[in-house]
Amino acid sequence: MLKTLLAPMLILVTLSFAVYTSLTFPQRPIVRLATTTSAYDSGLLDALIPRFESKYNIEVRVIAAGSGQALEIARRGDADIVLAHSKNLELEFIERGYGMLRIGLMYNDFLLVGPLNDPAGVAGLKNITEAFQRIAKGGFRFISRADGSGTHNLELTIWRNIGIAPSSDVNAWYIEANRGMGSVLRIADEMEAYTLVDRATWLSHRKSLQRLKVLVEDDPLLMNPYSLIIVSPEINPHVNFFGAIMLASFMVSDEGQKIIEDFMVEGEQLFKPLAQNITLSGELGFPNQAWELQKLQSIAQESHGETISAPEVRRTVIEEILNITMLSLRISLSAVLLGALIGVPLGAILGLKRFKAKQTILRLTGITIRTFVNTLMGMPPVVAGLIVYLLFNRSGPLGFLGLLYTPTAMVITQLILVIPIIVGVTMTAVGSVESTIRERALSLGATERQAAWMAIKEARAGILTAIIVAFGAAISEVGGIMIAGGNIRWVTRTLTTAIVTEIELGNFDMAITLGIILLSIAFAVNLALTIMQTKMMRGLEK
Amino acid sequence: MTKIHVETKNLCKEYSGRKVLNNVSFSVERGEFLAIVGPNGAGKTTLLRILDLLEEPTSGEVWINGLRVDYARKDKHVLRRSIGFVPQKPVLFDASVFDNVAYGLRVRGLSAHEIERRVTDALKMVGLTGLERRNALTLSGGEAQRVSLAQTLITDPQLLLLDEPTSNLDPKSTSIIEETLSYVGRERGVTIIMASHDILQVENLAKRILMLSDGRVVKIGTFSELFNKPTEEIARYMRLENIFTGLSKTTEEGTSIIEVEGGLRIEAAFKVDGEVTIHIPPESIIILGSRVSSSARNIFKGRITQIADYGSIIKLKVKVESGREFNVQITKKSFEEMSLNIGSEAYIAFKASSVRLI
Repeated sequence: MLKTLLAPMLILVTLSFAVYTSLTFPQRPIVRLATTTSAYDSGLLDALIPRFESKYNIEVRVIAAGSGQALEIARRGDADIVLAHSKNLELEFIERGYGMLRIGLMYNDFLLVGPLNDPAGVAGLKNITEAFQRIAKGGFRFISRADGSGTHNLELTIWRNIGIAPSSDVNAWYIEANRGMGSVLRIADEMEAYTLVDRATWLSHRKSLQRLKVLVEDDPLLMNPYSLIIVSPEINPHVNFFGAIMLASFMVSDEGQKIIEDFMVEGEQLFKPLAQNITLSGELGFPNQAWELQKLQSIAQESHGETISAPEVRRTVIEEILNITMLSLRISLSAVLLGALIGVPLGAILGLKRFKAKQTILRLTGITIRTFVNTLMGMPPVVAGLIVYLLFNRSGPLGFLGLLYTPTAMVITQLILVIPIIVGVTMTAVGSVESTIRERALSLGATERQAAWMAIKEARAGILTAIIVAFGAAISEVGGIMIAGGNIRWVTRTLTTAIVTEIELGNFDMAITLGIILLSIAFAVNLALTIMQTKMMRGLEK
Repeated sequence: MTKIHVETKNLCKEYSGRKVLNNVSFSVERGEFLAIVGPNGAGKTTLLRILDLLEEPTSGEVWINGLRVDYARKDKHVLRRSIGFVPQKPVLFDASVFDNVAYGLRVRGLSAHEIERRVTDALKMVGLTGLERRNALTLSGGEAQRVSLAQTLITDPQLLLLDEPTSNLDPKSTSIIEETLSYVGRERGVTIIMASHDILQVENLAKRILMLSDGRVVKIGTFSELFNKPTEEIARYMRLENIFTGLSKTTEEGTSIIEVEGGLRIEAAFKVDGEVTIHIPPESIIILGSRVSSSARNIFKGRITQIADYGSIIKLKVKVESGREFNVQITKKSFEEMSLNIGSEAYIAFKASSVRLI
């Protein structure tokens, strides 16, 4: 009897171990860059980073978020260097001691875009404040990012200048999107509304936006400098300080600045180099640029700045798709296999436990446990992600493990999701055969243990269903792994999070391709499991 | 070894305040065949489950082999291994017939060789040789019940408990089960306690009968002790259907005509004069679509008022022209062939020899 139990258990353990260990990648030194979405969405980092990585053999992991969020991630110690464009938040970050160098890297400018017919009549104005005033006065629709980003902060500054603080609670024309720049542009396009946008994002999205045009530009207020901030090792001692210094040195170097200058989208330059232009830096809010650069250089030299040159590796789209697909499979399979190891025995125990006892307390306990499991079965993935984030971020109770934004954190997130599903379905499956089968086995002379095992064996088709359902939930889940994994390219980007990103970037072709792959995988895995299930049902009949 | 195999003393069982068994006391001798009869809800199943140690009595005692049964013990399986129980509805495992039958021996840790030999024997006994590899869940009702019996008998129980093992089964399976029971009772000296509502079966198999109603023992004794003068009440307990009382008169042909109130005239094969109570077993009545010639002496025209589907068999109520209702039991196959519905007109027919005097 025990032997039959042991074999599948052993297979499960080995399998999940094999899948799980395959999650670990060969390690290079890693620098974690928390960046504002606008710099990321433009594609500039894809031009800068591979050059840096191959030159210094350091891997850069990019976490894209609004400026406010990027700084928050760094404050918690989950990034080594920040690329942001939100002056006030940056200064506050430095002042509190979280960051130690703040260098102007580059700049671009903001634009006011709006509907082609321009109901507020702001086209051609050179004064953004005047334009905002007309929009507010006429009550014309305006989309705000409302996400704490640099763009959002600039927008708030302009409203403050004209003495109003619009809010979607009060002003029907003011829409708080809480979304990234790409999404906000598409919302504005769909709703024929005004919005503030950085030139980079505008240029890269322009051709898909049919109902929007540039209305106001060139106001000095709309100049948009990007700063690099090195996270201070004093508060977060585990940060890769020297890696961050190397990356910053590279970006402000002639080579880095040249890449920025040459970066084109649709034949237009997106960013202008700023680092070496001390005068302009001063005007754009970097009064100590010369000193900061010098400091950067001296630290870089102290760290003996040995450059290890490695051949540049160019990775193709196909490779990336493969990488994404394999990661999705590994994470979801690991989570489901580990989840089955924990969830099946737990569900079986709960299913076998009879809470028909006379004592009210015991019965209430039974009801409570079942309700609890059923509630957890419906746990929203983002909540699972939030739990993992709160536990594993650098300031959290398990932060010392350094697991946030790794595949392991994603497996843990999906485990939180699949265990209740596996427990719940197993519990129901075992519970439904429990009384009749167990009693029959007892009648035929089985011991309590033998009878319980028979009930579990009879529920095997139901247990397989539990695993099928759990895998379906895991492979299609996006919210949880997005938060826990950070959607880092090549490292924690899965099919679902990649689809979200590609939609955000407007690459619908790629999104559809990934979607088809996702569906095919779900189909193939379910097909295999369903064949197994029907074979089990048919039993030994020939 | 004591002569008394099973004894209960003032056995009571309550389910949330409702008394299912009420002071049940009786004893069964080793090798005896006791039938328990009584209407649905009389407590037959509960009594058998308590004897199989599946349920604990609320109060009272059970003695087996001269020892008082301790329901609190953890190792009840030791005693239970000398008891076999065949439930009313077979509970089979999702596995082959072989594995189902072998289960009782496997949990006892017997060798594979021994198991194979005994499974073969057990399947032969219930007439299922050759079905070893079939999945047990694909069997018909009759086959499943026979597997259930084989599952139990293979463990060589000293005490065999059966809960209406042949209710709603096809005639072939019923007779195989009855033959098997009478064989193990006679040849192996197994003590058998069987709940049943089939009066013919009880008469043929059981030495003594325990009649239960509402959880109480109404009567216990031999068949003739119970049915020499069966009251209408006992007949009802027995779940006898088609009971009529009337004035019987012998005929020149050597049969009797019973005049039942309402103008119903039934011809019977016995020769009795005076008031009688008769019973016609539902399975001995056939249904005819039209008044075709039939050797049956009793043919009545009527209308179907009720149809109940029991799987392989169908139970019908037919109201005949005199206003009386007959319970009829036919196979599903013939039911489907005749395409009968509620309200459809039909003739019922039964032989004079099918009319039983009670």
